[in-house]
Amino acid sequence: MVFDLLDKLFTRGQPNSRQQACDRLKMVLAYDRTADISSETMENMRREILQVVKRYFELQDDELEVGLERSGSATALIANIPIRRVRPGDDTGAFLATATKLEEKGLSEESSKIKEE
Amino acid sequence: MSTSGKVIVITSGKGGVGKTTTSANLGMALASMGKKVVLVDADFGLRNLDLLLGLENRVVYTILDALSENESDRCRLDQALIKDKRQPNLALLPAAQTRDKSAITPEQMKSVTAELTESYDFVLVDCPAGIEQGFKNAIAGASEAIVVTTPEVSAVRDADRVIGLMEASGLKHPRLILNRLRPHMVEENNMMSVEDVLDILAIKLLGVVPEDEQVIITTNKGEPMVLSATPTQAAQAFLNIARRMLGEDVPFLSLQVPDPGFMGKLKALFRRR
Repeated sequence: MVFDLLDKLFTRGQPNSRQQACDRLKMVLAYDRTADISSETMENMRREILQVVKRYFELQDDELEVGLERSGSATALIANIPIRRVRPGDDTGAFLATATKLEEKGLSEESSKIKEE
Repeated sequence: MSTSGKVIVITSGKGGVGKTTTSANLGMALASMGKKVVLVDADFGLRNLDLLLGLENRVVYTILDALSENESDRCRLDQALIKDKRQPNLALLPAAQTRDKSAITPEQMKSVTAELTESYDFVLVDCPAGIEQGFKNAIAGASEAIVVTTPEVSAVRDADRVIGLMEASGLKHPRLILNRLRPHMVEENNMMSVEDVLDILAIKLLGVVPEDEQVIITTNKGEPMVLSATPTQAAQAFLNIARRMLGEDVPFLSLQVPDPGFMGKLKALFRRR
């Protein structure tokens, strides 16, 4: 009884074992759940991402690094894609063209104002 | 006789968490509720379901004999089935005691379980521990899965692993039985609670079974605890799970620690950190 009490007194303030179990499990499962992906699957995904990104951006080189990064109980998919410029494709091209037109219109209005003055 | 029953695999990943005890009790409970049940022992080389059911002396043929390629060695599937004398709705298909776990293939398991669904409402497959060939065989014919775990880190980790593997092979939405819970340890923050485990595994709860010494006693005798005229809390938990499997909405047992009294409370006060 006395020893019990002393033991409790000295261990006071430490997280309880139930919480420790939960925390440790969450950590280890974050790793377990993503450990199964094969390098082949990763490579397939890398190629697919690259295809999509290339539709919108011109890339530095056709390289794309994809990897899993783990910190604590969270796992993130990190992709590093150095880009050169936006590709003047269909959608982006149309958007850029409209923007230019508006700009020109604004300019001409301004210049006409100056003339009136 | 064309019932077209369900094939449900009972699995856990880790050994010793109570898979076989759960299988035996759920099989017996469902049978006592009027369903035709066959228990399939898929634990090749380490069969134990016969022993838990007290049917070990009646094993003549095993699942392997029913699948024999050699026609003169082969028996009919119903010859390999052992009918329980206490509960005529229950039958057991024993595993072979051969060491070779790859003695049967997933395809063979599929055809055996499919054939059994023609005459049984429930085909419960008792899965071996591990995630190797025996596991793959056991889940092959199943359309539903029950995962048994205990509130211990290793058991929960392994449960998570088998949940992932089953989902990858198309066996989705397994349900959880949390076995051997000790309410007083949860109360003292020394054991994970039902909510903790559910939060971590993120699957649906089928039932919670408290730790019960009666399991050892009934196993010694070869009589599943649900047979008892005065069921303990654990036996009641298995009966409730069986009713949930039949689609009934049964509330979960409230596993509260009995009131410790004045001295108990005083002790608990000192124990608190």
